[in-house]
Amino acid sequence: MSLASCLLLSAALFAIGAYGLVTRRNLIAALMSLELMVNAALINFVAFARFGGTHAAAGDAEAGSLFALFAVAVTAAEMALALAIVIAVHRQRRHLDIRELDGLHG
Amino acid sequence: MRDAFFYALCAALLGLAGTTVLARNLFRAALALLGVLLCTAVLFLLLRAEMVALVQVMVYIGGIMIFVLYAVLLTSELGGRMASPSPLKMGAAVAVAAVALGFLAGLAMKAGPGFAAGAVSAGSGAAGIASMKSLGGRLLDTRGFLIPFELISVLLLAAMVGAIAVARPGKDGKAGKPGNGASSGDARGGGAQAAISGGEGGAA
Repeated sequence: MSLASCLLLSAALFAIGAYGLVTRRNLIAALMSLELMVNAALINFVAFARFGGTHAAAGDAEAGSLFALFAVAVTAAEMALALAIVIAVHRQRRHLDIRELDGLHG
Repeated sequence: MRDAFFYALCAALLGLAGTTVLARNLFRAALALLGVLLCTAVLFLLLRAEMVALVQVMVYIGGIMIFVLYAVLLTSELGGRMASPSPLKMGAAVAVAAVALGFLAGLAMKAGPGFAAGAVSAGSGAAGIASMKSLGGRLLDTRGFLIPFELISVLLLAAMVGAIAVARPGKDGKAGKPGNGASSGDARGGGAQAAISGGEGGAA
């Protein structure tokens, strides 16, 4: 278990999320892929807080954990709004197909 | 032993992530995502970030995932299967994922040794580990993160009010009447709802 292995894990997780974000047509499924990518970023924050701590410039494990906590809070706000929009869209259109949702397309 | 557990955890994490993006059943994908988040919490424990692991379980699994499961159950039938993506789309997605993986893995290999050189030798000590007490101190310290902490609480409140305003039925909805409540918060929510319906009407 080292910094490099954690970073590789998060890179793989991010790539899987990117694959899902491109292939999924359902709005909720795309949001779940987005969650995977956010999760990869969180793993990076925590890994750098754990293993990057002896650098003269860094030396701050608390800042790394707090960054992850703030990211979790922002994601919670984002998901609450996104799922509210999902429910509103489903109520109006009766479907969640991303390719059909072009109401703002000029 | 520790390394073996780490690699087993990585395998479980990536397998569940693959299920999340490949499963044709939306409910199954949501359950796989739940497993991914749980595995990540265990990984955070392994990295000695107890606070982040706890928040991960409470906020992600206890809050966001329950909300996602509700949204899945409200909007799609339980046994429904999504259409599989076209080969062209799948090729494009594989290309995007490969580019992202190559770029990030290259950066990781470059950054890894430089950072890890000093860290792992000293990592057995207290370096790189934030106790919950010190985290709380930093969070409520005016020289630390007090202002972002307060700002994020305002952001969360605004997001919750916005989510309620967006999700509740409008005038043409079946249940609930906007402008029913007497409080100013309700009036503003109704206003936002009216603005949204107006925009929709204009688009249609």
